[in-house]
Amino acid sequence: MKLFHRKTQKIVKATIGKLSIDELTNLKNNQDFIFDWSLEKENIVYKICLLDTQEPLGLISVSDYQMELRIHINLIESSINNQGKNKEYQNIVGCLIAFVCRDAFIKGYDGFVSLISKSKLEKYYIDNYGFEKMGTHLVLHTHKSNLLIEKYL
Amino acid sequence: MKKYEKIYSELKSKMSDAEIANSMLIPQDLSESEKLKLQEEITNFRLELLRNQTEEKRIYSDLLRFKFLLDDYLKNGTYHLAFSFGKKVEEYVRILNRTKKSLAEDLGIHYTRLSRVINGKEEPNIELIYRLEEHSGNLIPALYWWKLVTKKQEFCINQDKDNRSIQAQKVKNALKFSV
Repeated sequence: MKLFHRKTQKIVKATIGKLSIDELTNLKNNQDFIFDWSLEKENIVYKICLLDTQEPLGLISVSDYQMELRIHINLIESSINNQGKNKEYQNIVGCLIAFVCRDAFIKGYDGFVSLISKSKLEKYYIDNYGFEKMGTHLVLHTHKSNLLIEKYL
Repeated sequence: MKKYEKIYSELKSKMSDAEIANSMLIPQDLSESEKLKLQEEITNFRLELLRNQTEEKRIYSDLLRFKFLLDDYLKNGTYHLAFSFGKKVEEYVRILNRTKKSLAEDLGIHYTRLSRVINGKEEPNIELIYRLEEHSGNLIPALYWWKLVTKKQEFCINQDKDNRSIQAQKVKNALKFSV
């Protein structure tokens, strides 16, 4: 993973792993995140951490639609310290989306990933990550999905 | 105010839209009926895309699946016969929906040699590895192919006690240290 530490201007190593139900439960009222991640128990949630640490810098919730060969992203969030102008690490959201794209290739889904964003923010997902608009959904697949993997992983 | 709209409004007082989008995904507040309608919309789109998928795109996607699985194996796994060089070349042929004979022709090697490599009776040389990289449109890097070979060699060296012992007997004046 290519996380960028803004203060030292260095690329740092990070890993992404699946959260257990216990870890999700413990995220209730966690001050590092705005969303209530304990509500995502029915979905698959991954966390991104610095190498050899357990503290999540960001989280992503996904649902696997096997019949449609598609992974849907429900929610993404960087921890409070990594939001806004003074964020500590850059590329957290990009790395998390790219990780899901890679998984969507491994599962034989052609790298197909979808999400529904608040309308006012759609433009940024299209410009920054290469999503295409498909009705209300934004989708990413095949070549554009691979481009994101090459950029962030 | 709706759940996500409320979060967005609070964040808007501290961050620009670009900063919010760089920090998280805020979904839309949807009713159950809206969710169902959108679910149907995306299902139809996805199935239509699959129906119209070209052979080129199928091969591209399948080769990337192949690449990422190789990547995971090379980083984490111990040697496994299913991931031998020969087995993976065989899978490569299958993904391309070609015959071994036509791949041998493309690679400029005799079919018999490709068969021997696939069956593990002959080790590939670096030239063949470079040709496979080129043949895959550089999607599967030469290093991945090469590491499949060296991973097997590592495994063999670790297991090969008999040959090690035979070779040791042929060595004279082996260095001995008492430190």
